[in-house]
Amino acid sequence: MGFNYLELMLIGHNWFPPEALPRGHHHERWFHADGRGAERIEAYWRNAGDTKGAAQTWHSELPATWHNST
Amino acid sequence: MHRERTNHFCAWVSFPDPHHPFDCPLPLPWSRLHPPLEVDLSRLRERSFEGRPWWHERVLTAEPQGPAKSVETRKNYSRIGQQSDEQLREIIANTYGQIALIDHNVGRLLIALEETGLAESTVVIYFSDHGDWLGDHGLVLKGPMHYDGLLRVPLIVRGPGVPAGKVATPPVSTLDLAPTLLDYAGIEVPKSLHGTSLRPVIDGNAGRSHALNEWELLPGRAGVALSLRTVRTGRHRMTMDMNSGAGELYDLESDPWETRNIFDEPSAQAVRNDLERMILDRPDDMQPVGTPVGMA
Repeated sequence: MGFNYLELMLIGHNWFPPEALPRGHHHERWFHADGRGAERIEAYWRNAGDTKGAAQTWHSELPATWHNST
Repeated sequence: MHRERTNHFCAWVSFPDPHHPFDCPLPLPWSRLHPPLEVDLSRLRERSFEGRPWWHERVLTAEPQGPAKSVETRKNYSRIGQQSDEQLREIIANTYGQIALIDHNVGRLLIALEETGLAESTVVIYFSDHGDWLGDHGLVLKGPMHYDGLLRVPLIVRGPGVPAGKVATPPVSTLDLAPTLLDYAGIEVPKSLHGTSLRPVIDGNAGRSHALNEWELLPGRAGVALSLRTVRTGRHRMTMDMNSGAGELYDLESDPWETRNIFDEPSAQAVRNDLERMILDRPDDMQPVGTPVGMA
């Protein structure tokens, strides 16, 4: 009974940008692993299109590969 | 999955989206998969507090409490004004793009299950914890106005013995998911869990009378303290604030857009009594609410 391996999320609920270690976990760890995390975060905030001033809305330039839904 | 293919495993795969910020990535282009001009808008998108319980307006205007950074963030959310149709189309199109991106990646997981030979012995449950108003009643994001767009979340089950293509309509809850998974695993469900296994609904034709939602809302979020209880049956939705006694009740059969609050109407008293009984029948095991962790 129980688990041989267990890893818990430290910061949850749509937290962005990904935090570097030691706070970051899972996706965050991978996001920063090659030292280009800051560069990706800049791309994340850039709006690649016109979103008509809609609240909380933009077309992120972050490639989908690095998005936290991938 | 590759590592655990010979062992029993449980994986909770949590995707942050679809959620605000509506930051769907453009490259590929997920955020333009659904053109804004082609998405459907809510039929009722005028913001009005007439006939609504007091907190609907108050949570959008009251001063949140807590650390300065948290207050600022919360105020930014609650002060979002009514969005134009053009803006709602952008929000909805981005949300649809986020959903499509998740569908794509869930598909990758399902393919991995097939490739590892685990698909035939693995139960997969796809669900969400809440919806978004996306313009319903002039609102965006989420909060203590429990319109159907927030409460009705997807719930798709796949696994050994699960009938393919079956659609079940009884009101159920995410509280039922842990007992359901324990049931599939052949483990006794602890009595401390409030939910019950969904297998009789999935495998057979068992019904459910109602689903419950509880939210102890502290002033850190929107400057008001609420003790909300929501009950959803096949026909009605009622939400009560146990602190003030105020509430809202809608007949979803005759009023699917939840426009007419009949909570205080004498003709609805019998229904309200039945729904209150459902709320009060929950086990008396509620613990004091602690300080929430994080912003949510």
